[in-house]
Amino acid sequence: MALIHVHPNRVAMTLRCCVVAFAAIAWSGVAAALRGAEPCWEPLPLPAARKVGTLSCSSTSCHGNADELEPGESIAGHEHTLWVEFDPHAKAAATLGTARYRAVLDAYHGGLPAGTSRHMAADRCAVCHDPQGLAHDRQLSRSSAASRTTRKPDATSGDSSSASDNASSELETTNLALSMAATRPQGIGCEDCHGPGEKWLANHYERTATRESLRADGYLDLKQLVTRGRVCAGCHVGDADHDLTHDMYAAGHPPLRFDLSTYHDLVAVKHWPERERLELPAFKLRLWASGQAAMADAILGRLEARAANAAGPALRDARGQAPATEDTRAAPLEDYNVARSLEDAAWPEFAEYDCFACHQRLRSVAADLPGPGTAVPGAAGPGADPAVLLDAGLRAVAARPGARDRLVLTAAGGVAPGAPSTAAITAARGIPAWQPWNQGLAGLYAPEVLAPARTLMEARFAPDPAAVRTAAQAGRRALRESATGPLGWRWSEFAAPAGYSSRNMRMARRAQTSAAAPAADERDDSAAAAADRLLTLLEASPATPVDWSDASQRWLAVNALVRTLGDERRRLSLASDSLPDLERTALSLRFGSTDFDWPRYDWVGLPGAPSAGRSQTRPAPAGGRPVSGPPVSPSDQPGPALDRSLEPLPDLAAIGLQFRGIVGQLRAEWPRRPGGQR
Amino acid sequence: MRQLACRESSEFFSRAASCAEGVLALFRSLALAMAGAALLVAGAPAIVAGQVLVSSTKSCTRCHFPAAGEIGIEAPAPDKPSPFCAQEEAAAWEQTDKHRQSMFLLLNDRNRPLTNRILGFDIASVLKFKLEPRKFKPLTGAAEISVDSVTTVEIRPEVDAVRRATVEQCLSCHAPISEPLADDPTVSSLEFGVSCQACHGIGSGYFAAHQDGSRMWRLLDPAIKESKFGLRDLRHPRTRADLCASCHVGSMRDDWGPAAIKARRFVRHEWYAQGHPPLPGLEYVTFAAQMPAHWHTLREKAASPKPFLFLDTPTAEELQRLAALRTLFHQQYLAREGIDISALKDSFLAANRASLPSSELPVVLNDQPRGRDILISGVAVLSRYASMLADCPPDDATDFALFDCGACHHELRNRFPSDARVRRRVTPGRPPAALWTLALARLGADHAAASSSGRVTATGPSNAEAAATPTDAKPVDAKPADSKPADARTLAQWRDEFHESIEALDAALSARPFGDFERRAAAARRLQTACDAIAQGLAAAPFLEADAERLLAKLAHPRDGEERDYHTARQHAWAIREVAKDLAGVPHRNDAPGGARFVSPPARAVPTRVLAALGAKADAMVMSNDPRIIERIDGLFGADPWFGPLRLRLPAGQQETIVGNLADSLGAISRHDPAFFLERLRPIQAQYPLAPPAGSSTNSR
Repeated sequence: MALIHVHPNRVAMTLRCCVVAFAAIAWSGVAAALRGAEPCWEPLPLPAARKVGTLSCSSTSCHGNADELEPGESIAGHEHTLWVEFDPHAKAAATLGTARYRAVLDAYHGGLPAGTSRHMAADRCAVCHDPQGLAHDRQLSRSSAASRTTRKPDATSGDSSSASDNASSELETTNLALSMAATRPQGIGCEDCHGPGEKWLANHYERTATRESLRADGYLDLKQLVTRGRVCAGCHVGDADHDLTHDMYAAGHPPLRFDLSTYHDLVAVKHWPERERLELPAFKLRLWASGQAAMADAILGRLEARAANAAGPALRDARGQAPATEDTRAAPLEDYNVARSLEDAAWPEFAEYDCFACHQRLRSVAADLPGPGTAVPGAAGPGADPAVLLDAGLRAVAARPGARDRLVLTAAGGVAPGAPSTAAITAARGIPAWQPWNQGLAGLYAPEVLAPARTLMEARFAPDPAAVRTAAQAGRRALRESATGPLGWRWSEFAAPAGYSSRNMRMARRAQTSAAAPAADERDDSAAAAADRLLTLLEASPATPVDWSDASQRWLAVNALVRTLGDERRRLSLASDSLPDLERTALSLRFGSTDFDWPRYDWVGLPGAPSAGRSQTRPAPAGGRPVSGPPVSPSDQPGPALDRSLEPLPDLAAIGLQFRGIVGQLRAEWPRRPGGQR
Repeated sequence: MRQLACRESSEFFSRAASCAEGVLALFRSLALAMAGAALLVAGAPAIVAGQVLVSSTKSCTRCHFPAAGEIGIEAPAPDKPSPFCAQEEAAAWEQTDKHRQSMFLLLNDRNRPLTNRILGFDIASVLKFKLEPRKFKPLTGAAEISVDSVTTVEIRPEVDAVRRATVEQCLSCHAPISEPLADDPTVSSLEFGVSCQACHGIGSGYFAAHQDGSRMWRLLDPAIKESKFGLRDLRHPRTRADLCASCHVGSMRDDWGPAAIKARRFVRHEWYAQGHPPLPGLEYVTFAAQMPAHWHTLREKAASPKPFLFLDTPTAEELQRLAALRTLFHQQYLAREGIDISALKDSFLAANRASLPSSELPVVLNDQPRGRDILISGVAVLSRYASMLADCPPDDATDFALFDCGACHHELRNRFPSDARVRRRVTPGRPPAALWTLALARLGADHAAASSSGRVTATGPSNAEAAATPTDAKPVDAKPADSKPADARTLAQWRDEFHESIEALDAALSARPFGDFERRAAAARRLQTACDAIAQGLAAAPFLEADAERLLAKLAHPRDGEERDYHTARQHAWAIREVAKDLAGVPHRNDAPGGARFVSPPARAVPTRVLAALGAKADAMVMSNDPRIIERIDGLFGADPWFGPLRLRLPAGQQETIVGNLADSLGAISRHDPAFFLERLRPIQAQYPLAPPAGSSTNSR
């Protein structure tokens, strides 16, 4: 039925579209004026939008064309088909059917207070893994109060025939174009990234539809790369309602990591035109920078939400009427809120901190200390000046290659002279570092973005949540209100050219964007400047990465640079010399087992010259992940009795040296535009 | 045996009593005169810290290591050794015991950078000290040697208060008492570290009485000795385990009595993070077995009953003399303290009833002291740990050091996190209480309840038991009245309270990370109270072979994934080795100096079941003093009899340093292989299966 559902309200919608567009423009204007923010920082999604279901998109005449694609042929009309076949997100529902998922859910549910139903616990998973099913449930339960009592007993039992019966009757009464599969899990659907379709479904293909008008209708402009990053980060980092807590990690959820640029590489066959990568200069670098902005925003938003929850009933209850955070991707389910409130007191939330700050093997620090024979001035006797002794001793410690430089505090709470980094001080005091995912690249943001929250989070282990919330809000505001994004790009420069293939849309796009689009030279200059900034940042970062997370994040930045270099050579038709080899560094950083390939994205698609279009992609092996990682070294194999491999203690100094070499190479080889500056 | 004991003790008594009115009276007056002239005589009590009398360690060594040639009373003639002590205790401590080094290890050139790093400032800015060798005459009889040491350790008077407080928190364990120097009583020094008085109590209180020539001190109720004279009753298994745990587990208490450093005994996490070696799980019996011994167990002493069981069945004449001595001693020392003469018992054994499982010598000799001590130690350790959770001030309520180290310090690449952890009813992802503390305490609670079957309540032996021992007209008070629990619940009820409070503690720790502090403290307090009651119950009941066998079976069957946690596995392994020694009849290690003075219990054939559990041929006849038996037992958990994968050997003596061993001992935690441990348990499991369900119903919790 739904397969041939072709928008019966098209005519009416066409008539309404002027009104809608007008209202939308007015709204967005007001919103922008109120916020003073760029379009990329619009709240996600627009309020009061409702989902219409994936089957509204997947008809063969719209996005579900299942015909064979010829090489080079446009993917227009094939989007849904490609997504189902190749996109990892299409497997979200299948994940919820695995035994592994049930084990994690059992462990998580078992830790919740008695009386918490399993499906309430499952709702916590569903917000990311099954937003379609959750939306279906919610719309169902809104439509009929009775349905609340007849909701399926168990979200994961797999046997929901009774729920189906109920659901089918509900479908009729609500007259919603929901998907036919009225059971959970339904997984991730089109609207979970592109925005709820209630308002734009009927007009998004119209000639009159513009980026702005569609945005006003709740369509998410994923061509704006920051918006794209924020949509991804909503689950892959989390936010107020997509909150992967330490309890869930402990129950067995794999670790979350995020990098927009490399995550793109994980989607082997994309359901959107890949020419964006060559049309927009330094696309991968822009993508990486957008991801960094989105990640900083999401981390602060998540912290803000967690702090608000911990701050107590006053702030928590306020969420009922007015969201405590600026963005809530969806109005939460009541049940979900109950499940969430069970964890409200989880403060400090361990997931806020560097995993390896705590999860490290115990080891002796005595080896780091200068021995009695080493030249430590003033160590001879009690008459020596203690400050001189300490300072010298510490410098001797910090000078050792590979030694994690821990600084010692004086008893009065001051820091001994020569303290290099907050992470070291924090570690010295036994407080884990807060989110040190890119300590070495902290210069990417203005100091007022992350520093206030970090200061509070690292001042004591369980800081005042109200103060943390305020700091996180302020940091977020500072990020959003800054004139430029990471690497000095203006926010508008993160917008990729619109890629709609519909003839109407192309015409509309041309009319809209020709005036606003910057000239090619200008774009090239900004790209070169951004690359220069990142290279400078990398050169200025500590010679030895602060820790594993920092090294990994640097690797990701370098990876984006290397891929950008390849793209730029291709775009400018320059000779394709060999690119710096990142594989060795990747392998020494890789941390995974057969179970936890952690983090998977870091090491896939190790650099080769990126190619344009679809020839770059590799088809997914049947039943497997679309891309295979690098060869697994024998030490990564679990032992016969127990996987006794330890957390990595990579030689960070050596890795730092490798980075130096790669950055130097990039600096030397960065293409010059004929006649232009670097 | 009993007859022999009586006869020999009578001899001793005659000898002692004959001197009573003569020489010894003079001797007593001398001793009193010395005490009175304390400040004038080197080595006598001196005044320090607020008018409290503290003896110098040299006062102890005068008698307890007279060979050192100290001034004072002359050493006993070789043919008339003291029947009560080896007179070389201080030498064992001085020359071999790590407790002697506890200050030197902080201050020597090698370790001071680490100490400074932990503190965050130079310890020399707070402490004044001299690094110089000390000399002693080794027990081996060789010429005097000198070893590196630290002397004259004083807190600088002008030091900043914050630094002083920080250092005092170190000193609270490393040198709890500042003692006057023998050669300059006006100077108090911390150099002795964990000195005699740090464990046995401030000497000024008992200095005179305990060396009174009448030797009536030995008949005094140890509870009185402790409460009125300050000599800690370390023969009581609970007291000593509790004392060890006060440092080796920790305590939030900061008042350790007069003359002691006033600070908490708590290693903060940031100190660990800076390099303070982790405190290993404490199991008293193993620690005592590995520590260079300066004592003899009651069992050893009971096996050579001559000096100790005297006066068990005295003659009328002896009773008369005894009465005279008692009266004198009472007048001299007890009357002014308001102590009734009945505090002086009729025999050494009777006086030490509280420390003994029974008043019957055969029961004492057949007791399995290791097994009993293991359980008591387990409960006492948990009590200390629970009291830390209950007493911790709000500022430290989230200190990581209060929780299980392995909760965070585990690797992340296991197949499934929850498969690698001990199952406790704490929400995954929230730090649980230290897992290892429960391993033996749980067995202790279950054993106490199962073995007593209502016969013994937590307040001591019941009236029924007292009536069955007519020689003692009234029940023996295990402890002074004020330490009795307010209620007289049975041990079965205490066992239930124990398990319920653990559930409550786990629930409080699940409520939010680090727990709901109020609920956590309340549950921990309940747990502590239950542990204390159970420990008393365990101390008051005999622990016989059948009990040891049951304990071994339970130890060999870890539950709830206990084998996965290194420290918990180690508790099991340690306990198994010591219980196996009991069952095999292995004598207590008797290598204390002067140990030859005390006769080991006679060797007997090792039971075939024990042999089979040790993997030996069951048909062989092996005697309990066969060195191969101890080798087998020590090697139960690894080819290396001492270390093995679980690193069961502690760097206890002065020859090894803990810091020097850290790289290996910490590595062992990371490399812990539960499969290996379970494999090693299998032969024991085969010989000692768990009791059938009916019998183990109380253990199924």
